[in-house]
Amino acid sequence: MAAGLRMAVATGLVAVAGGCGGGSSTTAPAPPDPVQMVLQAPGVRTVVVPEQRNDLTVAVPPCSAADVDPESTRVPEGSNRTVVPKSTQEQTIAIPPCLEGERTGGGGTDTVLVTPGGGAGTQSAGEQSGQPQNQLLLPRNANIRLIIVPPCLVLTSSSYSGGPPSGITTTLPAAGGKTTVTAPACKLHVASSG
Amino acid sequence: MSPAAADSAAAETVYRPNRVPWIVGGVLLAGFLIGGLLVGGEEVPPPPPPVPNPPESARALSVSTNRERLVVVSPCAEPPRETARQAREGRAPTGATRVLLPEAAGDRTILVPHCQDERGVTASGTASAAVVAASGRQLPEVQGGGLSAGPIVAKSQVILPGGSAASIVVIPPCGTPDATQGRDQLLPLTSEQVVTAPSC
Repeated sequence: MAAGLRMAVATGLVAVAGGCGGGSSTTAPAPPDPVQMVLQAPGVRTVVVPEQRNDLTVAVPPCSAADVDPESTRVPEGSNRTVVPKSTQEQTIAIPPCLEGERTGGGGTDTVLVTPGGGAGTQSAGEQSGQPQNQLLLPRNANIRLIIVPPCLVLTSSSYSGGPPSGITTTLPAAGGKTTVTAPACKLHVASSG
Repeated sequence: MSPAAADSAAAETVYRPNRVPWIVGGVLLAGFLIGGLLVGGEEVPPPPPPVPNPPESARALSVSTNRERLVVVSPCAEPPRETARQAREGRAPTGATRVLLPEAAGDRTILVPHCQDERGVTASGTASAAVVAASGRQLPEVQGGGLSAGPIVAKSQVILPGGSAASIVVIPPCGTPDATQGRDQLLPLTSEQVVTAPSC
């Protein structure tokens, strides 16, 4: 339920943004592509997984455990685990954000979107919509078996005046001797209108 | 006309103020004002009414994960038979989505978005996609029956029962909205390694 609400809120923002500036054309617009809506939604975190020589488990902690210690290699309970099989062509995994309040409410990152193709496609789509993505890039054939990706936390604050750290592209290390990597935490501050 | 009168008329012609620019400017100003009012009216449309029964944009796949299962979503406009053939060889055609579901208690629900008519579901045109729910997690239901994950709504379900020996499930996405007509389908129990969901 929480993920549905999050996706609905996020995609609603995209739909409203897409509706702005409409012309006076009388032809009905084509229905929006729901997959692109998810990929371009504000606060969505994407992981680009190029072809790997090993199976790669992607664990997305629930919102209540989104503040993961980057040094930790333990998968929080209730995480959404999916595995990208070895030799799979480049795929992108999109993780919906957690809205403020879900952290204490025990909500979970119920769903992730998996689609083939990589950073170039999603990045250009995000740029087109004016919503740069928070993107994690994994090296090709990295010696990684498990990656823990906390969802972005969207925090509302009436006093916050700094710019949101969105549009960041982080290249994850090839892990060296390690086989588990935890992605850095992601917090988006959104100024509330109230 | 005397020369003096002619000079006076000529001077009147020369010094009479030209009103044409004022008239053109006034018309343009009025046009901008009216246009601005009309455009300004369009900027605040009334809010759309709530959608009690959102349109179908996906089909659901429910997979028992009493064993590890590989789900392969065919690319748009690709025969699922070809996807199944490649899946047996550990490969997948370009544009396919591959997700391995580890063994865990409970079922996993996957929403497979429909292919779009012209542009395909992603920028690459023919790529498929899958929305994977966490193990044992129920997706929200929508009015009129169905499951949703944000803007993606499924109104029919393909079910792989726990007794199936299949380790690979190939599912083709539907091509048009309402293609499934709300029908649920149970995949047959088979000893085959690969089971393919019927096309829409």
